Amino acid sequence: MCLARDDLIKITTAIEKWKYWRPSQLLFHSEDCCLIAHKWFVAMDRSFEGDVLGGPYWIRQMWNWGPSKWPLYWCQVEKLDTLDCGILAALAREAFKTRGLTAFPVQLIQRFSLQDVQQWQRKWESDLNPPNWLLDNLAYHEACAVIFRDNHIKIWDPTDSRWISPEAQGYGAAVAISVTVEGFEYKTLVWESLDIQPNIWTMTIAVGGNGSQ
Amino acid sequence: MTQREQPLTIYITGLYSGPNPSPGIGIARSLRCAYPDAILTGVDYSNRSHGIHWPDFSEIWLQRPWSELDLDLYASQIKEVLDASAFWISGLDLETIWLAYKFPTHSNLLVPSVDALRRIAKPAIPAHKDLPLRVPPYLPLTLSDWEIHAFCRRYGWRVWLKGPYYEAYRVRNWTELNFARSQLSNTWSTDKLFVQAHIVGYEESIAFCAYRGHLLNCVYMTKRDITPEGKTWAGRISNVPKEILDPLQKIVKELNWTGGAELEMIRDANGMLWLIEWNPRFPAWIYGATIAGHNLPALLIECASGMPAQKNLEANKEFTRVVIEIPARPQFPLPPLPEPVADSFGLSLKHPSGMPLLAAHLQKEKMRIYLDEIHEIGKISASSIPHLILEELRSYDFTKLETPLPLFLKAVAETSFKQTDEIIRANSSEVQVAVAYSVKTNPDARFLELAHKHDFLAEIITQFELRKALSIGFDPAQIVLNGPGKWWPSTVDKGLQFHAIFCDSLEELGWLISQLDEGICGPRFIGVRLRPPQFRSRFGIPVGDLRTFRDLVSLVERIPPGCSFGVHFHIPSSAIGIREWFQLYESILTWAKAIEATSGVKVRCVDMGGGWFPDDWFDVLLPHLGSLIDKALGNLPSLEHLILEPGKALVQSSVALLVRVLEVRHLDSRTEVVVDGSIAELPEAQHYPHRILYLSGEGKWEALGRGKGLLLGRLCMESDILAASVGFPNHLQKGDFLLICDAGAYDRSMSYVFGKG
Repeated sequence: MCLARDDLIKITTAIEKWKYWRPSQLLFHSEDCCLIAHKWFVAMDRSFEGDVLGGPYWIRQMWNWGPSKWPLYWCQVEKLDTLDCGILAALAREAFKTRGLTAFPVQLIQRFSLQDVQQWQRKWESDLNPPNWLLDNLAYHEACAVIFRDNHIKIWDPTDSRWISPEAQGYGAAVAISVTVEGFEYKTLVWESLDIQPNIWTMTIAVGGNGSQ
Repeated sequence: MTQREQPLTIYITGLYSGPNPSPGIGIARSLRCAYPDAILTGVDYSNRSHGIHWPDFSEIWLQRPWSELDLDLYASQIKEVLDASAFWISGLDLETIWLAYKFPTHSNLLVPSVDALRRIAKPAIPAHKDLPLRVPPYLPLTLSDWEIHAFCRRYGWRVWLKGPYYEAYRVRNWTELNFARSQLSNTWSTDKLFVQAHIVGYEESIAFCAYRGHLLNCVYMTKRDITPEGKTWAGRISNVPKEILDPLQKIVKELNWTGGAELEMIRDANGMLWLIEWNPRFPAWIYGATIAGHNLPALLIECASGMPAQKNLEANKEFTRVVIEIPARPQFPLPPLPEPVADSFGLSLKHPSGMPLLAAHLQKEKMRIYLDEIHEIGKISASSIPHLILEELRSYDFTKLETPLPLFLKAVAETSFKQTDEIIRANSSEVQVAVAYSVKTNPDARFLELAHKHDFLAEIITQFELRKALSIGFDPAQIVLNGPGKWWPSTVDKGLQFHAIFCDSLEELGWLISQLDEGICGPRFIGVRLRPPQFRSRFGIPVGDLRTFRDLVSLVERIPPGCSFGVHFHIPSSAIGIREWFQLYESILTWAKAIEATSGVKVRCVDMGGGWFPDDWFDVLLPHLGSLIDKALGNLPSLEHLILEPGKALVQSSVALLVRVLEVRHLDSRTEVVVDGSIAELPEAQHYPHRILYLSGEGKWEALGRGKGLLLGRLCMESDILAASVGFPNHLQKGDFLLICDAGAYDRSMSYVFGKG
């Protein structure tokens, strides 16, 4: 599938809007409160981990998706009814890392419908949260990449509790992706049929040229 | 008229279209795209197969149910249509087998050969060996119950019970397995069942079509949505990866395959593909492949007939099912619902194409030998009885014994305790390892004395048990207190200093700490029983709740310095499975580590609860003790003490129930034997298999194998069934002795007096 010119402009604009956003991270108080919450989280993941490469599905069974206030500390997470995609991704990343895997933050731009965007705007505004993660019919989203072999990654979407694929097109599909990698170990990451350069936004849909920004 | 001058006619079977559909409609839709003028004849064996109303069929050939059909006559009718140049594509596995057998060389019958079918037969699926796929572990049910139970424990009771043709039941315990065994065996008229390990993963399939060993095309399908039965509802079509395609081409050639096929697989979290089934027909989702530009049924017909198919373009790689209403054909009025039956939908709705009837039909006829050949999965075997048990039985004069009688097998008991003791001593070094005998498992003084003799601890759950243990000679410092009722029925003597007390709740822990603050003697270890979040349990502290976890940490910080802290868990491996138990153990160590890190209080003791089947205790746990200790020390470097609770492992084999035959009933289909024992003496009868021995006329004890017999208790209770699927000797008669082994644990401690006036 190739992008229409209008779509290309929209996605390029969205990348410009969100390219300086850093992946979400949970903060740590220097007191016991966050230590207890973190240790509890690790033990919970160990309890539900079947295969080390299995998705930490239990996180979404524990929390609903919705607006969150930032900044957020580990000790505050348990008291919240809803967590946004950034916190869910940060938690999933922590789960994979404490299992001994290499995991990276993933930022995505996904395409939905204008009606969806209006719904989410309303939801966020009613929670006094700015819906600045939405633009036209596009949404900023966070997930978690995990290395399963060499430089091959799988991407876990902890909001949907699913592994996602670059082959998905259309509604809900990721149209652009950025994987944040510290250090220089990985020059390229392979996500199924897609090669991704770390720390650079990449369009996942063919644009007939270089889709990187 | 030559074949090419005839209108293209194709017979398609398997028209059921419900939540678990047959492929007939998908095949017809695909063929209609490619051959708009072809005569497509839908064939089925029930007017409840609603696919007969699908408009793509030019005509319907509705047969009488398989149970009514004269198969020879039907075969000759099929031969007529095949000879008249029509093609036949079967959508029914068992029909495919029958047709392959009947018409081994007919070129218009588009099904694989008998030899090819033999090589894809479940559970081994021998043809898969060059593919990068594994077959999940399995065990034929012709083996002894003892071995089957061991297999299920090994795979954590995540197992399927399957028959050779259709249907599979997920079974979670021994009772469910026995029920499913009976259901499948009756439905499909076969005892050739097997248990297979469940694989956790994503469901994927390959469909292909081939003609005389030439692979015409194949597609890969990843399920995107499934029905509650696990059947495809939506999917994505892609190319078959080269690492599968190359060997598949070779195998298809070797098998000289003709017809459609489907390989059903599961991809686990590590990417390994497990082959679940190799079906000798197109899958029901085959039209999904046609939508994606791969019309496999049309390719098959094109190759077989030489008539070019119209090409269809790829519309979409993804497909989904929807529910639609279509007009029913007036010439096939819909039958009314069958008479409602309180507890059943009836066979006709569950298997509308009548495959169970065909299975029964074929089993009765000469096909049986052939079916047995295809699905050969092992010979019937009886449980092997340890030599030690047989040896010990020689010391009894049974004629003088009143039955039912639990026989204490002293040498068996002594050996179990001694072996355990030796292995434990060999592993005690950096960490002191102790065994705690759970008094509740069997409070018989002879077992308690053995435990005391070997310096085991005694684990008690009430003050009654405490008194009993003390009366045997245990010192309070050898007592471990567990459970919610450990202080019942009276408060403990404040002067006693126990080995360990594991609190079952935060309330109890708080209370105990306050008691210690008041100056009563503290135990060596004060600890808590953890309730792991991944299992349902009513016991222990539910650490999966963060607030509870925080409160626990606060209380642990208050434990007086004179007492060391410990954790206890108890989820029986015999219930959850061995692999799951080892995973649980590691997760408990993580919880202990979390408590240690957050409270600053070192974990000095870990108590691993019981529930070990004897074979697993000796063959799995004890040999792994060294690595268990290493793992514990890796997480808890300050660990001093590891307590093992063998539970039933030490005593289950040490008692057998001697019973006398009261009556032998010879029914048509099975033998029922009533004995003077009952579930009152064997309350665990239906929860795990008990090995059964028969005392022959020559005074030799022989193990009973699998058969059609039921062993019934003496009670006027429907549930008083001691064993099913037992093979009794033909000469068994009233007054004969049977010995039901493995009755030394809860069969003894939970037995009750019933029906004795």
